[in-house]
Amino acid sequence: MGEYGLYVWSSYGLALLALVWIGVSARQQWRRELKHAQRRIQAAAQVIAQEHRT
Amino acid sequence: MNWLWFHKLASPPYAYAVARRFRPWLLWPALLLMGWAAYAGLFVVPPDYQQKDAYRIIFVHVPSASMSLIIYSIMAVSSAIGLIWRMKLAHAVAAACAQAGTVFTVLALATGSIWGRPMWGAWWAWDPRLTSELILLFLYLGYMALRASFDDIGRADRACAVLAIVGVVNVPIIHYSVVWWNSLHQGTTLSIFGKSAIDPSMVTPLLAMLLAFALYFAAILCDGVCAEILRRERNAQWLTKLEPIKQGSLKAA
Repeated sequence: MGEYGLYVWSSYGLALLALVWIGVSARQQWRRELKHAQRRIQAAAQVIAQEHRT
Repeated sequence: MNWLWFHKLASPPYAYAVARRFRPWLLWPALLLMGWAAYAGLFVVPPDYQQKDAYRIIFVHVPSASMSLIIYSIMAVSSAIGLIWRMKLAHAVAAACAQAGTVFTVLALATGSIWGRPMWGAWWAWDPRLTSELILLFLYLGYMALRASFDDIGRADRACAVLAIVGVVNVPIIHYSVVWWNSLHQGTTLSIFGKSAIDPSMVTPLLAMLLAFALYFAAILCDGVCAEILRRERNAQWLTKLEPIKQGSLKAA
């Protein structure tokens, strides 16, 4: 790469970081929403179960 | 033509299931293609006669810039569909696009700046192409800030849809800026009608990287849309039937 090696590799490195970040971020958002949905539904199921007992 | 498949996509549980099923089929080909295109761009294609090895930045710069424009166009079209046909899922798609679009725009500006330093002698120039791409970044950031400023999802959707539709006028300005004005930035690299301004040996890795970026974005969009659907369908009955929720574990996800 000669004198341009630093520029080329830093561009590819930045691209790799950016792509990994958006991939991980989107995945984490989905898993977080799924966890919230799980908790809400479990809480609602517990409330219904308690009402049945009373 | 039977449009039933399209109308079914407006149903949140159907769209959720489709997104979950398609994601691995988009992600793994994207990663493989990206690896091949990066290898070819860095080691296989010959150096440019003028720019020597510095031009290899094109294999990340052009795909990211292209994706920044494509994603904003998708946002604008989804927003228009959401406003006209009152499809909430269309607004969810637009919202899910914003973060990825912002990152691709930043990447295009950053790699362009890194490329400009050895070629133009400057990290930045108030060139029409660069300036309009910077405005696109502000539009993406403004979209996300506007969405975050509303508590009500419906009002956020409508306000952001207007911003996305109005801002899409910037997309053709970015594309044609090198034609309409005297620009430091080189002209269009790839041409569908006519001769491309790039050697044929360089076109294949460039197109491969562009396709890889597009597939990768589509895979990320699947996760983003699923997250938006879960957020918007908080109290929906169909959520209780989702496998990870039935099993009480994210491992099934």
